[in-house]
Amino acid sequence: MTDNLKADLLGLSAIDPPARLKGRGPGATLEGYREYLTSCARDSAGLWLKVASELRWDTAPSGLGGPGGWFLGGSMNLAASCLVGEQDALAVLEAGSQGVERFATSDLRTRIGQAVSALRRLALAPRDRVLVSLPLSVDWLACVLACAELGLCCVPVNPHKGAAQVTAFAAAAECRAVVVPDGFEKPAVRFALAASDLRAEGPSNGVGPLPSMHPFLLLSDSAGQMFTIPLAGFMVQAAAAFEALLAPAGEGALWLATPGNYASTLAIAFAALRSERALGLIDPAQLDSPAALWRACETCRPELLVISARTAQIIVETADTPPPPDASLPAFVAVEGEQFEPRCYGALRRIVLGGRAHVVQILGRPEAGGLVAGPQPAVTPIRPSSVCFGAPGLEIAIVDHSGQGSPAGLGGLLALSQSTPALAMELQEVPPPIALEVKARLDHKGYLWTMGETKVLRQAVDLGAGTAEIEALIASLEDVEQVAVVRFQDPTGSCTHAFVKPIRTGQFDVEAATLLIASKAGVAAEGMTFQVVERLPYSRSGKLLRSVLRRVAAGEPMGLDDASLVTDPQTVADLLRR
Amino acid sequence: MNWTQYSESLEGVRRGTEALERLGRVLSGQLAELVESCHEGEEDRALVALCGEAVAKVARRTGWSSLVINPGSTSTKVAVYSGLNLVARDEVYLEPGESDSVERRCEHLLGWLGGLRLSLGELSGIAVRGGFMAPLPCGTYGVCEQMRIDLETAPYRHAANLGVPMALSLARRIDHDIVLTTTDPLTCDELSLARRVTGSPRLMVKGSAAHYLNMRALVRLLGHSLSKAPEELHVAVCHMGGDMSAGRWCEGRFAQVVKVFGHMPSAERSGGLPLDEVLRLAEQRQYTFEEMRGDVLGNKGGLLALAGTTDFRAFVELMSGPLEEPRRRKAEAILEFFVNQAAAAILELFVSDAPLDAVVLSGGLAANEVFFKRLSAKLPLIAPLVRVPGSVEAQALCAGLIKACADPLGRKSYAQTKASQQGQLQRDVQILATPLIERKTPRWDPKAPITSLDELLVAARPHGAALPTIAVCGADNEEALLAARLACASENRLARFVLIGPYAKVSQLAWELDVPIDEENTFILDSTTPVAQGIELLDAGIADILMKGGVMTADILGGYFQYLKARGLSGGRTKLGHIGLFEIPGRSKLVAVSDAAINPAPDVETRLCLLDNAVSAMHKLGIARPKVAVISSIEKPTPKVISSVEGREIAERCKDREDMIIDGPLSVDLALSPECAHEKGYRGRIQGDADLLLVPTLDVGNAIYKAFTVTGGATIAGAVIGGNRPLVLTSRGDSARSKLSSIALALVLAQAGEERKPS
Repeated sequence: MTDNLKADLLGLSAIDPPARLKGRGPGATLEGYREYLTSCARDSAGLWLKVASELRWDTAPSGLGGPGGWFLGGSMNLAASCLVGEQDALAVLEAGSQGVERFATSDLRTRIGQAVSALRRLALAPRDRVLVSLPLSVDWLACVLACAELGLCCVPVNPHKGAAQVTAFAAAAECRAVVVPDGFEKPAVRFALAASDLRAEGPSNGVGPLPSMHPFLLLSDSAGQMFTIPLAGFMVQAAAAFEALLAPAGEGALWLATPGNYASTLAIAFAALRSERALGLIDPAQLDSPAALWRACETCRPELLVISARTAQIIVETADTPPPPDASLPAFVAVEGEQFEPRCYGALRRIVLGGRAHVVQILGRPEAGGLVAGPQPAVTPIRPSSVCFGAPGLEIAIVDHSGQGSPAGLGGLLALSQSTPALAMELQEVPPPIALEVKARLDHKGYLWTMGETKVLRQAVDLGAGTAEIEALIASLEDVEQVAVVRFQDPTGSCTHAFVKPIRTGQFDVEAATLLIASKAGVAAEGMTFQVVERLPYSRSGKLLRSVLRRVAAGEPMGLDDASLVTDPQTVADLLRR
Repeated sequence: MNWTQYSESLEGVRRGTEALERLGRVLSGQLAELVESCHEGEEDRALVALCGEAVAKVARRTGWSSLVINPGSTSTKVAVYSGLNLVARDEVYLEPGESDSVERRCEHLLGWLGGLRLSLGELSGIAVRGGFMAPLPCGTYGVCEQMRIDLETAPYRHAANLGVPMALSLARRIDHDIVLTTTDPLTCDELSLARRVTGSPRLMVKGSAAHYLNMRALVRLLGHSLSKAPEELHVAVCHMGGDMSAGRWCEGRFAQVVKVFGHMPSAERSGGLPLDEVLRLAEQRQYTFEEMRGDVLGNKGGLLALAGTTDFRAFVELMSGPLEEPRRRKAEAILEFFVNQAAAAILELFVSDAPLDAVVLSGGLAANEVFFKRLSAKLPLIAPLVRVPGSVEAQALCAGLIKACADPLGRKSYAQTKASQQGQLQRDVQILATPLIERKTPRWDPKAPITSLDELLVAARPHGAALPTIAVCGADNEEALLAARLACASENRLARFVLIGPYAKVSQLAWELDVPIDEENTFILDSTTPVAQGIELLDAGIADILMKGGVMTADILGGYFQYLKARGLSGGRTKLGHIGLFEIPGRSKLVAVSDAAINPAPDVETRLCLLDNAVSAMHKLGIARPKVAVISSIEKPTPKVISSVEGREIAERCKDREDMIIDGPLSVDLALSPECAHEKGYRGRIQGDADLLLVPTLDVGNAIYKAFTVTGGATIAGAVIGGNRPLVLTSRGDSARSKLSSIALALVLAQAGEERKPS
């Protein structure tokens, strides 16, 4: 039996990169690339400084600094740093129902200015958070860059969430404003803009360059954990990863069809713009079948296309015929996201793309600020379902729950062995290794195999925040003497109602309690109501009668048994009257 | 120094012990004030102390209603608290003769609540005593479904195992969310590595099975009493109730314990037994595995077996009354035995680098004056003796619940902690398995017959040759992956494994079970048709052996049979059958049984094929002329018993063969017991010394299989034979050793024609 057949049967055949990509990128050979990665990890400081020197700063940093304080003294205007091309050079392409719309650098600058103007009218202050729930489009890009112009912290969210979810998320993330697509039901938030509102005329000056560690993005993983990403660090790491992982794949248009809330989407977008590559944007919802993919490729003519693993799986589900011989296909498809089974990989490569595109997997993580691992497409053999090697400057490790290293081949959690500039600000001071809550395995050859996220949360969010937990939160407020929280069902769903007896009559800050609950208990306390009371119903034995409280909250008639239990019947009457 | 000087100095030291005694009495008094019975409607001081001031403040504001459940062997101790106030406390009994179950206990509990006009709907939380789930560090855990699942295969039977299912059952009856917790369950294990070492590398000490809940609560109350953080105390605690255990608390955990099982005797358990005597009696078949289990782990030993009662108080009272010889001498000896055992356990805890701050005694026996006086006389007083009669388990459980409500982040996740603890135990195992000095002398003669599963494992090693490859069909299966992990462990490495199944699921499960996928010795092969894929690997020569994972037995056998057919290897005298190789305690060699799994009702010709397969397998195990017993229920053939007629025919047709010694029909006792053979005047060639039992039907074979393993304590290695390669079939109930042995058996059988090499 030959080694090739053996390798094929085991499905682990290493797929070599196409010959036409040879010689591009930071390493001409695999050994060379590995040496490059090793040198980056060994001298990550040198790497960051080098890449930083290639960006456009308003004030260049005087030194690197370290965790929590990267790029000392540096300040940057993100839009200016990204839009480096000539005014009439092609910057962005947007694929819509009417075909591809083209935007030059000047057009993009205009759209950014309009978005700045729209956001300025909301009287938001620097560091205020703005939730952006838009599909991948020029509006999306302009809005995000406009947030950067105004020093706002952008909170990108999957645009397929409903209004109630957007409201709850905005509350949990303490957002002052939200931006939603046209025709979308406006969430119950103080400031809500539609996409068309972003094209306002008026003053469009930003606040000027922002310091390196300015909180630029608030990203979340699928477990709801939120991470604040610093401005310059994100840009530097994105540029370094892009140069090594994707730039060697081609020089033509780079098309993104990944959700706008992915860290990798943002990283690739900004880094691509900075490298003067034309950036194409397709709403991933449009790619729901092989035919849709072929049509999009026909229209957009991407050389490099980035899609999510979920999109790839959707496309592959109905894959049974190869593309037409004359179909225009990308040279290189990068699949980003969770584990992509070898079977699906094979179907995408052999059937949907007719074996004519080089398919690789890349991994981005919100807390690591963008691209974490991928191939160097010019030299790295691909192993289906693995994400090849770590991005330059990111030293990958696999650790167990106690932080100890797992031997090669044994699973654990993906971790970074050292801090990086784009690391979430909440993790900047965490001593390495910094676990990324992704289940993974590193094999002897350095290939990284992931198998999804662990649903570990550091906050009380979604830990089944029940009534007792909410009571504990309210009881921690200084002005509260007693509290009882009940849940009941009504036609609108599950309702949570809190009865609060303040220490001083009538003095209870409902808003403070609401914010506290929202931040700690998240969507579990959605739609919660409060009732300030003078006393709560007790039985003769001193037991708090929650069944009575539940009936009061739900507006149900009191039973004889319930009423007879209460020591002081007037209590119930008072509760009902309110 | 002469004797006078010496004894004067000694006397001086002994006078100092009076001060220690006084300290002990003072501390006992302080703790008694905290734990003395609290009246209904009052704040429970022990509960307040265990909660701590900050949490107590929150609890007073919220008035959480807590139900505490502590199942005992015939009753359930229950308590209800409103905030920090005790509302009611009781012991709810099963009816005499009533069968014990989770639902029955819940019904009784609900009846009790109803009697007090309390309803489940009023509760904020339920705290239960936790039983023998996965090993965990101490702490409060949210009750979850995984706990209930793990309790179904608890290593020990204990009433506390009912706590978690009761909580889940009650929670299902409530229409709103409720907090469910368990605190410091019996399964806690915080031992340091050094405390896990035993004299045999096969065995590590596990820390589970001690009264962690009560002991830890007492340490915290002691700390509260002395205004000292519990983590800074160094205390020995001994709980002496129906069961007894002890622990040494140091640096915030119980680094050393003397467990309930196999250590301290109790009302129903023997405690530790002299192992040399146990082995001697077991060899003589005078002490069976079941009897041992009943004495040590069950409810057949201890005071019940020695004195005929489980009631220590009644026993001690018996001694205080008139008692004639020799009963008095026996009673005295038994009492001294228990006192000595308790004293020895406590003295064992003195073995440490730092002096103890106190020795705390709790439980019913601590309250018994006679017992306590005798015990304290035996303990050298180098630390104050603090006596806390009874227990504070209810308060400890309630405090855990209240803290979990007040601080959800403090509530530990069972799944995560279990995984972390397993990882830590795994690392301890690896450290202890690290070879220190290489043994060069071969310990096994390759030409000798294999007489034990240990020898089978050695024989299965590749001994310098290339590792064989085993393809696991349906590798998204926990048992199969565990077997693969065992077989890949560096000291045991037997084969390489190709794990065939849905890639994501196999990868995930391998991650959870710490199966290394290094692509040198383990590979994952993505496939939705694992049997077909496995056959393809076998056909291509990539895999040497197939192993059943999560696929149906019928599917893998069917696939394998089709493979044989396609290769022209089926039909005629080729017949697939199962061979089970049993290592039975007390027998000096292995016993094989065929066929207990594949052929339901083979005719004579089929049985002759199965016999050929089995004998061939025995040859490969080094048994040149296996003794074969053709099993029936009687020795004299009669047409009414078909198996006896067929047994005679088979024996007749094979009697002149040089490759075996055969007799039949033969009953199992004559086949396996020399005494029975002698007793019954059997004159045949087997004489209770059979190597192979050829059974008439699958039913008979299966019954023998189960009898050997379930009640006889046997370990089995099983394989399907008859094709050109053996096939590994492990089943869900097989132990880890059994799984590994099955793989080893298949590998040895597959080494057809190769000489076995010494290690």
